[in-house]
Amino acid sequence: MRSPLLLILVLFIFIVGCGSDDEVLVCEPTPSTLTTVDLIFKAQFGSEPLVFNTTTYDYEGMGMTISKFDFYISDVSLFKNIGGATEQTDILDIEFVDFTQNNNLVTLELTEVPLGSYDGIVFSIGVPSDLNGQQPGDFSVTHPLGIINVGHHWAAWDSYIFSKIEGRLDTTGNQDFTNFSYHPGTNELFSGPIEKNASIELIANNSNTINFEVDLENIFINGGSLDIQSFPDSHNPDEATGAIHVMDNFPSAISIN
Amino acid sequence: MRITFLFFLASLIFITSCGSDDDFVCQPGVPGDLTSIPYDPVPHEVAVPFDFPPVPVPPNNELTNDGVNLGRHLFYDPILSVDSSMACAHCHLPGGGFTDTLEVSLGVGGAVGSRSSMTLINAAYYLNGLFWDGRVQSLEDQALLPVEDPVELMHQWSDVEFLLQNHDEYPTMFRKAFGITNKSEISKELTAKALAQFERCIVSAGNSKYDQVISLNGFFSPSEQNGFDMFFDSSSILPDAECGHCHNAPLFTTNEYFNNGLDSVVSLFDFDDPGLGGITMNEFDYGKFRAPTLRNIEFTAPYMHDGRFQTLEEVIDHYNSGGHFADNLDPLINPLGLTEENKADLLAFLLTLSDTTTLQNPAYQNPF
Ligand code: HEC
Ligand code: HEC
Repeated sequence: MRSPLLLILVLFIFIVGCGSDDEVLVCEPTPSTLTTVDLIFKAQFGSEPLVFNTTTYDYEGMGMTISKFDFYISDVSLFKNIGGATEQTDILDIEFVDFTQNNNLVTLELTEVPLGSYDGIVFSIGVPSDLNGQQPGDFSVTHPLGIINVGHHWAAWDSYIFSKIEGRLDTTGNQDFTNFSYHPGTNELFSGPIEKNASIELIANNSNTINFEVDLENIFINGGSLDIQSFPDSHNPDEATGAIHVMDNFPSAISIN
Repeated sequence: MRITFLFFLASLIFITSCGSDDDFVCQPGVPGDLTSIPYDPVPHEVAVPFDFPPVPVPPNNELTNDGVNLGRHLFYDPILSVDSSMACAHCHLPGGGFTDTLEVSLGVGGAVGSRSSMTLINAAYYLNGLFWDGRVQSLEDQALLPVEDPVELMHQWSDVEFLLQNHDEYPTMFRKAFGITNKSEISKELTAKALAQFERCIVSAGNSKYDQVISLNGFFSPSEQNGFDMFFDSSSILPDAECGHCHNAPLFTTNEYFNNGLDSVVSLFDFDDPGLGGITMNEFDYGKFRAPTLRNIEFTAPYMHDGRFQTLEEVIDHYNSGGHFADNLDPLINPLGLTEENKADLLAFLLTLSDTTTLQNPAYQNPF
């Protein structure tokens, strides 16, 4: 009498155990728990949307025009605060945000992002060191780090160029131009992780968007205005001033809404 | 009994008629039929230098040995020109670094073009528009244009298709390359695909002095090393020449469009040749041209879109001057302050990009 009962009990446990195994599997993302998200990037210059070439901005009393602005964004994840801990969901390895070629509106369409309510987003500006040790020829031609973006690799530094910011400054108001071009790179200048709190609600069958606003003026002026006339370039190893300034300011120049 | 017999007879007739159907299909004489020629496409591999990615190939035009071979024949065949006087190769000669070494190209009957011929080396990797102004996006689309261009081959595609369809050898070659079943399927599109296949194979051999040095199989002379350091702004002692920003390794171009200061204009609409602006109609694109590769630059004189500079010394002097101001002059074009010695060093470095093994590769030469 005892042993049949034991058998039934064992079987019961086994079946229930199976069931819970299945439940664990269900926790893996399935199409019905995934959604699409557009990361939308816009550049500002102070309170105005950035306009390339044709708009002259006031910079320390001088006229500034911008001809190029782009950067790499990498290691993007969403986070949830659960009790004292945070749970992180990776959504993007690396992408190239090119305002110049896209009229100051860049949309990265992500598919297969888990649904849910998140408390913020974490990302970095630049190319993480594991990828930064590689070269354009190591990637497929259309990868953001591939030949298509070969202008953003700088062999002499053994590094990708994390961002390009180019333009000119009319120093006297008489078309006395100082050209500037900042091309920061190298692992030391990698900027991240940058954490931004934001309540992000990702729902199914909906056009979810996360908006990034990047204020180029803040990149120049935060922490004290960059002296562009004295440090107009950042190309060789002795010209780090502009590069450091720019990379230091990305975190405070980007806001999420 | 009768019914069975009838059935048997009917079956026999049926089988026999099937047989004769087959016989009919096998009979020669269907005009233009090519199905007796085997179609066994063999993928074509392209060797590339160690720092290049594999050659990108569109899925609808995979490289095959027979496709590349057909493309090579078409590239060298004057059948594409109206008076059978010139082929693509006329303006893209291997010995001239796949250019014609003229200031501006001369087409059929000496018709004078407006731009300088461009090298085809590594064209497979030029993914940001082709031509000086980027007006076409793929080698397939590009290859359709020279045939009817009045300052190039000046022919009509319909006539070229007729000639190819009725040629002694091309129908067989098109069959082997593309599996067409009838001569009448030979079209301008397939002709362009074959030309594009051949062009995708024209890739640097990786034997220039520069390639040897960066693959740790050689050393620069001190002068070449100085030139390298200025080209890539990698020395804090020597002046920056800024070249690498627009002519970056490994292709020695970024394929982007710039105004590098060649012309003095009052308004951006005043450039003799509008370049990219003529395509995009965007004011700040006027006078911008695609930065070409500097690999094998020694062999492709004269230089720039209109062939205005005869020598590399003149090119370096141009950049050293800072060029002419325009509203869209690239911020990297500034007076460089190079001394005579600096200029000589920069030139010495540019010459390390020469690779005669690419130009002499037997697979790229005239097959006729
Ligand atoms: C009469 C001389 C001439 C002939 C013939 C000619 N080309 Fe060209 N080719 C040129 C010139 C000039 C350019 C640049 C034109 C421009 O930018 O508007 C050019 C550009 C090209 C380019 C673009 C390269 C790049 O980097 O963007 C390709 C590819 C090309 N030619 C292939 C061909 C093929 C294939 C044929 C034969 C079907 C051919 N050409 C016939 C003169 C010629
Ligand atoms: C701002 C980008 C830029 C910089 C910096 C630059 N170039 Fe160029 N280069 C171009 C463009 C664009 C062209 C084509 C211009 C045209 O034909 O209108 C060109 C053309 C050339 C050509 C002619 C190529 C041919 O096939 O005709 C040579 C040679 C050359 N550059 C060498 C150099 C050297 C050497 C340096 C450094 C001193 C340099 N470039 C710096 C953009 C640049």
